[in-house]
Amino acid sequence: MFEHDYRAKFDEIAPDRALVERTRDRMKAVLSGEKARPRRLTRRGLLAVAAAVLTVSALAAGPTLWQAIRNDLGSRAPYATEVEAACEDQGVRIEAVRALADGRMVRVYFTARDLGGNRLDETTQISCSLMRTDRDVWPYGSYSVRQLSYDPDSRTCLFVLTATGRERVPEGAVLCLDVERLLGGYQSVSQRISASSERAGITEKPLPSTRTQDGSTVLLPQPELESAAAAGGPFSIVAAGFAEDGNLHVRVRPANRAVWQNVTVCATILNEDGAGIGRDLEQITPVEGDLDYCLEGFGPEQLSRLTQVEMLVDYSALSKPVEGDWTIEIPLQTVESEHFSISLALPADLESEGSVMAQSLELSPLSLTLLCDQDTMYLEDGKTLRSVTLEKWTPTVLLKDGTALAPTYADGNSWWAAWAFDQPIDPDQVVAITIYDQTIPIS
Amino acid sequence: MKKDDDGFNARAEELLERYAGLVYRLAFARTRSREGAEDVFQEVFLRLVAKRPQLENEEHEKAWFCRVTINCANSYWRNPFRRRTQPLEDTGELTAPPPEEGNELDACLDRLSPELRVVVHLYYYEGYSTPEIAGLLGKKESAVRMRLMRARRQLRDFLEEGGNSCV
Repeated sequence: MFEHDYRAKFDEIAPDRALVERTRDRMKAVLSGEKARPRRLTRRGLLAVAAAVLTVSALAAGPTLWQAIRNDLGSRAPYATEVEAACEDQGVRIEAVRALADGRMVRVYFTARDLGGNRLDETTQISCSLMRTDRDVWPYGSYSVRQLSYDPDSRTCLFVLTATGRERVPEGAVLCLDVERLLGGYQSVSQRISASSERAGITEKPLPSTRTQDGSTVLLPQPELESAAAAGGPFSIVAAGFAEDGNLHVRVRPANRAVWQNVTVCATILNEDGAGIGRDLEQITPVEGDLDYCLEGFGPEQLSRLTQVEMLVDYSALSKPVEGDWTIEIPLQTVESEHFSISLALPADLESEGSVMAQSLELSPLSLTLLCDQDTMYLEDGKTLRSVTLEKWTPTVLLKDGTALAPTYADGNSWWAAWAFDQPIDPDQVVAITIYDQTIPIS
Repeated sequence: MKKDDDGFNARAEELLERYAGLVYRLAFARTRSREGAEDVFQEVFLRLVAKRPQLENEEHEKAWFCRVTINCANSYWRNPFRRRTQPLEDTGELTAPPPEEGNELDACLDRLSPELRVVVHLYYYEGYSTPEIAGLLGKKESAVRMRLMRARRQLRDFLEEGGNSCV
């Protein structure tokens, strides 16, 4: 139903002919070698930065998790601050314990502890979103969460959330972490059968079928697929083709030990334009421990349009997903950074013309960030971004004692890039920064 | 126009005609605005002529247009000039009208994050499998599945709120 409605909705959406013709004209202009004129746009100011006071105190987590956090932070540990934020739902306690932020890069360490069961483990998947409490979105760059460790004694998972910023995270910002779901024991498996495969391909000939007590037609297992399934993974297709009711069926054998599973069976069918469209086999019939999936109305006469069937399974042998509402607010204390105005022309990539002006540097004990003048990023149309790979301009940071540091690229996009120091530095010891063979003295 | 030694100019026009719909629909799915889709649309085809990619076959062409459209749509929203917000009281007649009856699908698609909308579109409209979407997006297959699962759940939840469960 959704699939049908969605297709119908988007079938109505098409570009105006005028847009296509405008685009054709612009393509011709580019192909004829027309030069772009520089364009000026209003400049966006940088946010002010305030200094932060750091505190170091004991962690609420146990010794195993504390060690895992310390290992992950490495020499940055002194800059991390203790966080006290926790909530409970569905018998699971989510607790933030440590945060590290220097404006451009944020790390938050938090735990998930199963208070009454064993639903979590070292493969726990977490679904969550991040925002700032004063904004309804995460206004910066990307963020991700990964599991660092699991302590079976306390039944506690340790996660680290890493977020990067295309804007500075201001001093005093409060992050809101909203956890929706935890799934321990997470596994996934997929299997694909090509319709044209000689060995296990799908033919017009009806496969041996039977009827269940409620009158549904289902496939019987095919011996060759069943024997492969016995030797193979936890979920397998044991029959695929047209049943005696004239419809496309796929019979799936689930894993015996799955506590929770989410199985999707999809057929790829060519439409009139020759494009492959995925259609779920939505009619499901349990049969003798297996699951028979049927795409009603798709018969052998349409076989030439079928390219493959595919089974996609997410499952857990440990627990059903724990769904709840966990929200914690995490105040950040950002490490102080210094700003330097610069004027540095960086060449655009080969496929673009001209150069981009770097206009400032932000230097903290943890990272160095380069920001470009956004006015110089665009071609004459004001929309097309010049292609420039800032990542390749690895800066060299020269200290008073003569040491030259090459920080590691951490994140960025078309107009900013950040590099992290392997070891925290004292910004007061920096005398110069070299980028693209141009040295900027730091006073 | 420069001499078209390798026939690329004519080929580019063919590709414009063939993939106009795909690019526009995917851009619209990501941006949920006509204006945004038009900007991304032009950007994609200008990149085609700027980069002159060697597209070996139809599958490769389609994948290239999908990938570049997603990248351009991402850049569209990264552009700070477009992210500037306007106070509500200043928007006047630009304020969106209340949802019309029968627009439940639009309303729930609006509620999905752009990342989820892209996965939904590639899966349900373009017919890509999750491994193929993973390849296009540069994500792990498990991450794509998770996005698809979250999208389905959010769509189901929202439509059920309106009494019209269709997922």
